Amino acid sequence: MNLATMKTKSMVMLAGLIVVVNGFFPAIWILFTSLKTESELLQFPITYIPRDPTMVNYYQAFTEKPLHLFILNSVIVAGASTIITVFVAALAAYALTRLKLPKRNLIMSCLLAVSMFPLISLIVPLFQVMRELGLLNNYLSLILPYTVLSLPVCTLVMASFFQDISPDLEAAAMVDGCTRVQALFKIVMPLAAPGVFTAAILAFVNAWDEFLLALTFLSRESMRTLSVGITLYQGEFAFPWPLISAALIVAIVPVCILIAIFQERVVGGLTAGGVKG
Amino acid sequence: MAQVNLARVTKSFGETKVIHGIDLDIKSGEFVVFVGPSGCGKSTLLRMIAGLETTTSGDIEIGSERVNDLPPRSRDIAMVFQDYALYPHKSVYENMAFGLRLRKTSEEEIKRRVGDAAAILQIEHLLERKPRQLSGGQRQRVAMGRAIVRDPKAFLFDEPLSNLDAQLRNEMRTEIKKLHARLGKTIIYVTHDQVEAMTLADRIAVLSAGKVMQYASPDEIYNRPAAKFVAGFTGSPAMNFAPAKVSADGASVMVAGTAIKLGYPRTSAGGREATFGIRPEDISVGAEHANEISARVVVVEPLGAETLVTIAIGAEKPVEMVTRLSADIKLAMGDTVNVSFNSAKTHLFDVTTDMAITS
Ligand SMILES: Nc1ncnc2c1ncn2[C@@H]1O[C@H](COP(=O)(O)OP(=O)(O)OP(=O)(O)O)[C@@H](O)[C@H]1O
Ligand SMILES: [Mg+2]
Repeated sequence: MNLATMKTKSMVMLAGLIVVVNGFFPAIWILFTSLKTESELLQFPITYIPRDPTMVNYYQAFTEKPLHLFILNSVIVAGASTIITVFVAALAAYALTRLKLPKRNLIMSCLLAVSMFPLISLIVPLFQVMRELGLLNNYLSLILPYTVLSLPVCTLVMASFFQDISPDLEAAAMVDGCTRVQALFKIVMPLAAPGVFTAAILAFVNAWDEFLLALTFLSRESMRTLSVGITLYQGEFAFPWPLISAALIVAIVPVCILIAIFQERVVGGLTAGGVKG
Repeated sequence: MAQVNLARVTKSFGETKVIHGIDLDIKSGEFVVFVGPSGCGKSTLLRMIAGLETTTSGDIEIGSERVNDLPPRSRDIAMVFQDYALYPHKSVYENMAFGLRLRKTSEEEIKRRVGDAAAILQIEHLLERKPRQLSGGQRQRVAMGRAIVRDPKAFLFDEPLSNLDAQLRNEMRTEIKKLHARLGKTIIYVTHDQVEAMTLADRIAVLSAGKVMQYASPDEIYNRPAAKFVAGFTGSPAMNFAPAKVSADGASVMVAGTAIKLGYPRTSAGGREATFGIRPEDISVGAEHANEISARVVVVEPLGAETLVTIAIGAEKPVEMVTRLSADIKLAMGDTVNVSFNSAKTHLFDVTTDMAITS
């Protein structure tokens, strides 16, 4: 290895380090805060690493509010909308890439346009719809809109993956004895796995993070999702920062675990579209 | 085993008609090759037989059952694709087993059949590999293995050898011929390579622009082409063509100011213009045949066993023709030689329709 390549290599490492530190700093800060007592937090000069790490905030986060219910609600809402989204988006993406649809490009453009509606413009009509349907304080009031909101992007992601799969593979599968739908699920989906996982993660994180609809449609405390639930830890006179931090860590960790599990496939998924192999 | 019949089959993609009414009967166990230039509709026709494309009109029968409305899976055929279309995420064994599994074949039976097919194709040592770990020739064998384990009524091949290098292509061509002899199954094989067509086929269907120009044995196609297109498509180098005037009695033609006697008289064309055709190997140096003509050597291309010599005949408007001569005959550019045409192997085509004039 000569000097020049070593130099570029260290530059790349440095750039990577900046990105990682920048991204992780808030998360680390929250983690450290969650391990401090309130008194340590207010101390001057401030301490960075908790001097006396404590788990008491985590205990309190669960006892003060029904955090376990918030988690359960979020898992149900995000999980259900992800499953529905992936299933419907797969069928839609398949139709868009494989069938001879008239006005295919128009449909694709509309999909893109729909995914750009600001959420806040939808909230009033959606609220009325949910009330009429009697779905307020029902998981469906979030599962349905989340599915609809994630569908366009997930469809486009999967479509770009399906596009790269040779139609001859499906032809071979159909000659071998598959129906068209079997060919989709037995051949196309496994080959587009990185795309499917990318779409799933996008849908899940969207639903997990969403605040506005969750705040409006599920108003009963036992129905709150995590993103809304965390805001309920407000003291009368001061923000209980360590407590909120602990709850936040609890909210972040499942997503981190999920992504860690699929990391290889997702990273593959996010880059594979660009570099055709 | 099954015969395949096509009756008045047409295909349109939207407004564009690509198959114009094709009638073909393929006998049970026959090896039929569809040959034709790129874009003539060979693949489309094959995919219609497979059920991968809908049939716009006409009937397709496999084993005397009309299959127009059956999906590919119900037609009991197997297909080998140009790019092999092996399932990348499945091992060779699973690629071959896939069709059997879908048909709920027992695990023992699958093992036996895959084993047999692998033995025939000599790929037993590759069964655990993934397609990407195989060479082009090995993938080709796996694709054929996937077809033969199913024991279908007919095999469809779409240019299966076109991605292989020349040597491997020759090897696999021989393998396919052996395989046909061994299995005795109906095979429909698409290629644009006339050598493949000539060597493999029991019968060849020559296609041009969505029509069958001639459907006959390789011998017939080569020696009695029904149209100028067929004559020009077979043989390498291709048949020589020259504008000609037929004598009043139809017994001979004038080509570049020289009279050439025909094998038999074409009275129907007496006194008219026509296109004269002769294959390179039917022109010889010296007086081997009648019709001796003086010619000038234009290009000499030695190929080892034989030499391609381009000659020009006629003084004012010379016509160039390629001849195929024994390598023993040493000629140089600019030489003048006497050549003779084999009358029995001369061809005559209509100027406007390009069809052979045979009477
Ligand atoms: N899906 C399609 N939509 C519109 N036109 C098509 C479609 N598929 C094929 N065609 C047209 O039909 C004609 C025949 O195509 P086909 O693929 O059958 O040709 P081919 O004889 O197999 O050629 P090649 O030797 O290049 O494979 C071509 O002109 C092609 O442009
Ligand atoms: Mg083709």
